[in-house]
Amino acid sequence: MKTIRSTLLLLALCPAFAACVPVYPYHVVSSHTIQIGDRQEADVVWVGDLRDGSLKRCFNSKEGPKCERVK
Amino acid sequence: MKRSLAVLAGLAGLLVGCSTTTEIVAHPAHSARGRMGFGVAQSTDAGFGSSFTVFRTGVAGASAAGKEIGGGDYVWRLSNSSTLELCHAAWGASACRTALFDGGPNAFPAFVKVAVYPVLVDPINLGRVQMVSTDAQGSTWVYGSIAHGEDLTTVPVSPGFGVWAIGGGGTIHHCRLEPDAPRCRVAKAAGGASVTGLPVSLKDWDDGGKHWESIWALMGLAIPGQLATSVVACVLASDSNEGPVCKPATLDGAPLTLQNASFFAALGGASGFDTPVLASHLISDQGMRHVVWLMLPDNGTIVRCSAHPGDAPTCVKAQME
Repeated sequence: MKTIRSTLLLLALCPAFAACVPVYPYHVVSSHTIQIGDRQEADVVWVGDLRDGSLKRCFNSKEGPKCERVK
Repeated sequence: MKRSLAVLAGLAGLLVGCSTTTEIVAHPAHSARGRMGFGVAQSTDAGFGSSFTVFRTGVAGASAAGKEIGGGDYVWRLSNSSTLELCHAAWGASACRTALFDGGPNAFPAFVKVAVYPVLVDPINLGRVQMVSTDAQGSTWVYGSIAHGEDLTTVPVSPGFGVWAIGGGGTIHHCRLEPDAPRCRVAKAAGGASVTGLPVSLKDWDDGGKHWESIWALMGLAIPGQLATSVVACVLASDSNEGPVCKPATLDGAPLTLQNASFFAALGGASGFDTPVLASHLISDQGMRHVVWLMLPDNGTIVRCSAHPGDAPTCVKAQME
């Protein structure tokens, strides 16, 4: 039990240090799929940028994935 | 010599004999016809005024579509902390059969009464667990969190009533009913090494007359001076008697790794801290594809990764505009 508690304590403390946990600049607002053809779908992810509060819409374009600012 | 034996016996008593273990279902599994629902198991070891509890996805119930009454219902459950069973009423007196992990039951580590593994992988908890420890002074430690939503925690029933599970040591397995017994086969990387990691997305689908099951996972890998986590996609046909095969995702032609903090971010997913996963979807685009959007811990890179049976999974950086 002591070993288990020590492990738990370490696991709990570790994320408290900034070096352990990255601060990702985005958070998900919404994600879904849309129909773009008879048998073709596309995936869309809306993300908020925590650095400036802007909203971005990410999708897979012909040139590859792209995130466009919408606000 | 006698004194040493006495000390050892005393320690063994502390670890094994002087506490009580209880196993209950905290949230039962529910599902409609054609779906597999997941529930939460609670394992508690208590003694000397303290307790240690693990909450994890430990039950799953299948209601197979198109089967006769009573013929299509199967239940996966943890019968004690380390044994996974598949139960079916029509099997009669021995209605529950032990799932064999790579040939044998998942074994307890020595002197451990409450294990974290095996844990079933459901679509929202993805193999993560919650641990709660209390001591005689009334202090409580909590690590991780478990979500349970009946609408969210179901998947289509697959042939063999398949489920993904994380077995001893954190190895990823796929379990299904095979002709002789329920079996859990370890996921393997190229070269045959067992895959240890944390699933981040789970999907399954029908395509080309087959049922496919797939996960994206962060595969832990220690390299000198730092931790890196490679990103792998594991896919299998549900009727296969082989284990899942995991292939590393590539970005710009090189294996995609999430350096340093990512491993802890993945752990953080268990506790509600940041995770690198923005979203995951199943889309129809020249065949069915299992797509995940990931953030890289380098100040704002987003990548879109796509997996398809038979193809190497690939990731492409999103252009930020």
